[in-house]
Amino acid sequence: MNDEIIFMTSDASHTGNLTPLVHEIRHALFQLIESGKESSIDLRRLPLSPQEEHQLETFLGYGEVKADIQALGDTVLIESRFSGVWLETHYNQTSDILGKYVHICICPQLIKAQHQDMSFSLSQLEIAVDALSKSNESPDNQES
Amino acid sequence: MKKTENERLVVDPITRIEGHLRIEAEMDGNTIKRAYSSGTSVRGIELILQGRDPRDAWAFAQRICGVCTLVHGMASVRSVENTIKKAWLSNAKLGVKAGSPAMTSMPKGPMRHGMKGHKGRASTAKTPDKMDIEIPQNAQLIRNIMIATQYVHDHVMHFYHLHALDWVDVVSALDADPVKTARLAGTLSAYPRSSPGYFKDMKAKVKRLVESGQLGIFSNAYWGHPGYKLPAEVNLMALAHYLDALEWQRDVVKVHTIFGGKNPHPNFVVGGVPSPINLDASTGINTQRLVQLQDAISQMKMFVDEVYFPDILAIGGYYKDWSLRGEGLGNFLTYGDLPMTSMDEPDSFLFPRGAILGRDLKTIYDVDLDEPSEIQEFVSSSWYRYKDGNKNGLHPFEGETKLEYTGPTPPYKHLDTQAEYSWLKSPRWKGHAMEVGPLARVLMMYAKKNAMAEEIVDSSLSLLKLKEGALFSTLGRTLARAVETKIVVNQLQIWYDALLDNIAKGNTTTFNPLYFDPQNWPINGQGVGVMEAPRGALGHWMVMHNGSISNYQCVVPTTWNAGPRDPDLKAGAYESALQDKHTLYDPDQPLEILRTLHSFDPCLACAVHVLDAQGEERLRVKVR
Amino acid sequence: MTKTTLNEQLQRSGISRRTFLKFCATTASLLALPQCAVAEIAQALGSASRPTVIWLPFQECTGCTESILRSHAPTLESLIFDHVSLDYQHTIMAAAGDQAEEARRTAIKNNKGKYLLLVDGSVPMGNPGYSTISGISNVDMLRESAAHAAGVIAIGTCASFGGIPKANPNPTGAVSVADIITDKPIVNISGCPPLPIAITAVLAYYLTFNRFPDLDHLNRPLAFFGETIHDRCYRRPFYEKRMFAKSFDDEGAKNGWCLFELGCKGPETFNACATVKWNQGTSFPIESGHPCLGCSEPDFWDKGSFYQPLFPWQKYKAKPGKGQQKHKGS
Repeated sequence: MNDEIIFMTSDASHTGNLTPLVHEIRHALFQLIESGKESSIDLRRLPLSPQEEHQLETFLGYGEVKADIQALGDTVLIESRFSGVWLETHYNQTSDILGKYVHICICPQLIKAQHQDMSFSLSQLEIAVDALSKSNESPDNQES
Repeated sequence: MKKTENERLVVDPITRIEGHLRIEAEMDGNTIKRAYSSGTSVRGIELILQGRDPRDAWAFAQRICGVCTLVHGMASVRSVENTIKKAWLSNAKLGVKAGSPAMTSMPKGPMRHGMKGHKGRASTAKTPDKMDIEIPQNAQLIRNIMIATQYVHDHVMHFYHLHALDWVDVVSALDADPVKTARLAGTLSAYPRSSPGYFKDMKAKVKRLVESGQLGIFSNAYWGHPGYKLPAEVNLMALAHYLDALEWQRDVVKVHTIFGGKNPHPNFVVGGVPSPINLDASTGINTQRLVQLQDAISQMKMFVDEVYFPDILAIGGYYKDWSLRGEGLGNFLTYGDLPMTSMDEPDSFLFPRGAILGRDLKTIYDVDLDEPSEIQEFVSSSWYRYKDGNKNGLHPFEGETKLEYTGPTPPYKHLDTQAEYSWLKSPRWKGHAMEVGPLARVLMMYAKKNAMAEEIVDSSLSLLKLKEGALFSTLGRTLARAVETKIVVNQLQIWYDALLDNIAKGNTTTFNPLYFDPQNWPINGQGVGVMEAPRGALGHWMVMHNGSISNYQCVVPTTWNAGPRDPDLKAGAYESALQDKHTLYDPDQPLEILRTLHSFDPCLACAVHVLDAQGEERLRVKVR
Repeated sequence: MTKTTLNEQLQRSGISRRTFLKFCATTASLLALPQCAVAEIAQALGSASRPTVIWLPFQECTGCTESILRSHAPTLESLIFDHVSLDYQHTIMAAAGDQAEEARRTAIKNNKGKYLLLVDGSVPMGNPGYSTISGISNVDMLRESAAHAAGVIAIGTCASFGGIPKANPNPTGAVSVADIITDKPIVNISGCPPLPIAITAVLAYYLTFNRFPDLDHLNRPLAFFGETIHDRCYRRPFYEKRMFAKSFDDEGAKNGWCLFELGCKGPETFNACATVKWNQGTSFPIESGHPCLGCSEPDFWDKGSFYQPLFPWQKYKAKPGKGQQKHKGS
């Protein structure tokens, strides 16, 4: 754990945390390519002023992928202009931000289908295939 | 142990209420002959209030209850404001000019001087020059909006999360047909969450819960009791609404959060409200907040009109026999509330003030809150001792109480119901035991020919094919709660619009600093702050000396309703209600008792209090 | 009927594993855990069987229960709370009287050493008759119920520190849970009432790691009580510039200036209201114009008037070095 108390000083426009952060991202991407090691940076534990947050978003920019995930509230995943560097924002159902991360990885965990969900889906799929087959056999049958 | 104690039925804890309530009942076969209601927990908050700054009092008082949060904070602020304003008005009458030595106000009854050596302020209390002594109208409107939100939130939550399980059989919902349920819901209202798919999901949820073996809060209850009369589809629909209401209630309290910072226990201030109005600022009540408020208000109206009220009528239809029991006093009391102008103008109240006796709606008695012979508290059946003996009652301004627990040493099986058996006192109005709460208010409005009340009551009774007399019952009380919720939620929009109107005209004042400055307070003063809390008539009587509280008494709704017998052995409202034709199908499953008690919406933390006017604590424990 | 795991429970509720992972990630963030802990949380939490929780109400006002109910819905935040087995809780349980007490005793018997005990309200020691349930005094019920608990969570300032019943002159001899139970792990989640998310996060942590998270010297979880309101208050710049509201509704108040001179206890109050805020992040006391009461601190009722400023002002000035510390990298 690496928590320090950061005061909101009277000069709320500059915490100075932006530069070390982008250095860290660079280092992490290097590690990913070299050894496959994935990492995440929790932005909520690293206060940035609103200006610095905006600067970070501008710095990261947009790549080719944007994912909107509905999971008890939205999660927005954006590939930055640096392949392998992703920005993830979690919202709850009333649009409050619950978490914000920079992930340095091949594919963020949350986009991937989960094994458990797939197993459950398989049983659902079997039922659905069954039903479809039955209704195609006898066109007069009305299924609700 | 006396022979009768062996036959007494005991239900403790009564759950799905606020606080700690115990019922003991003498039975005649399976019918309740005599019921005894006991509050089994005490904290002593009035004693804790002594010596405090009156401006802090609301914060302490508010913690009397977190379910009916807001009500005690509101009554407390009003008691302080009433005390100060009375002193100003009496000074003005006497022609006392600003800056001259303060006159004492003219209270009725003896003054209290119990101080624990507190130095206090010796400054001259000034009467304001401008006599601008009103609480700003915006503050009144905001307070009304907050109170109304509490009503709507509290009543809806009460029905679904505290009362409904007495009428709705959770397990029976498993037999429901989702398509039929959807059809049923569709006939009741236009509420969108009524599709067959929605009810199918709901049914699956219940199935999972039951099959998991861990029923949680639904475990060990009375499912399958023959007293449950609803068809499976109504059970499923009600259960779905139970869960919807849980979601809804979370959102509508934001009205409190916006004005008061948080819920539970929003913040108040003597002299107005703490939240400023400033359309141009990013803080305070601005355009964005006003929009959020309107959203919450619309949400409240939608749920009351489309879900709560239709459910009451739908469910009530299957329990019409509960219009034949559950009201044993016939006496009703309201202090009145929700002023358009100020608390000093009862004619501007939405809920009128008055008393009804013997179920006679044609005669409404006036109520004088300061008159010593009207409202009195007795302790003949309570664990307190008055210095002049326990046979007499005391008006709250003269209130004095010492803790004296004379009950059995725990763990115990029975209380001594022939002696003292509760931490609640017995309030009486002109010697009569009174019921307070939604039934009292609706009857008062109906008797005073309030058009909206008449219309809703008459149409509901007609729909249920019941007559006016049906109101005096468990079902009637439950219906009354829904009726007043409907009235209040409509009024909510009117107050909001009035607030918007003021703001548009450039009036954004929310606070009168004159009340907040001790320089303007009388050296001695007393006053009462009243409100109609969701559960009934609430009053805080305060006495002030040299800038601190010297005496503080709360007479709260559940004390009126749940209090024990008085020296004449007249039972309280709960006791009388339970004694009104309650036969238990199975005394080991006291469903019938719960139905009636829950119709009162008990709040026991409110009902119990301790006060020692001399500032001393004397404890005497009698061991039997 | 066997106890289901949390994974199974969630699946049956139609909550995907993906959603569950999101919950784990955001909870880890709230609890100030590194992101590498997320996988561990997901694994441990997922396979936890639905834990039994017993809730005892003593000298309370029910505000703490109400606070949790404000987040009780299928929301991400309350995911964990929806999935514990709340076998005994006066406000919402269906059974009453003997059946209710039986539910409590059964829950204890069937889960010895594994259930969590939640308590709200203080316990009166002046006389056992001051507060009873089913004829049993609070202190006896507490000792009996804690005896086989895996751990105790004291919810609210009353249970954590004695709260309002303990305020001068403490008419009933009220004490905190920790004053009575000294042989079990205890967490104090103080506040009047506490932020509901603190409760759900602590539960989630416990289910994952089988212990309570890091606590401060008053046994409060550091993740929520490690900083003062003042440290995170959005009005702090006004404090630094000495721009104070002098009265309610004055120019300063209307413009959102610092409420220090109106008696704000923010500088001495440890809680997360300024960041997490209340009722799904809608607002918090200072933002709505009222100074902080300090309600998560012991004996805050007896620390002088709520409108008495905490002078000297300079005592709470940002110190260079502490105020300017930077993130060192994970």
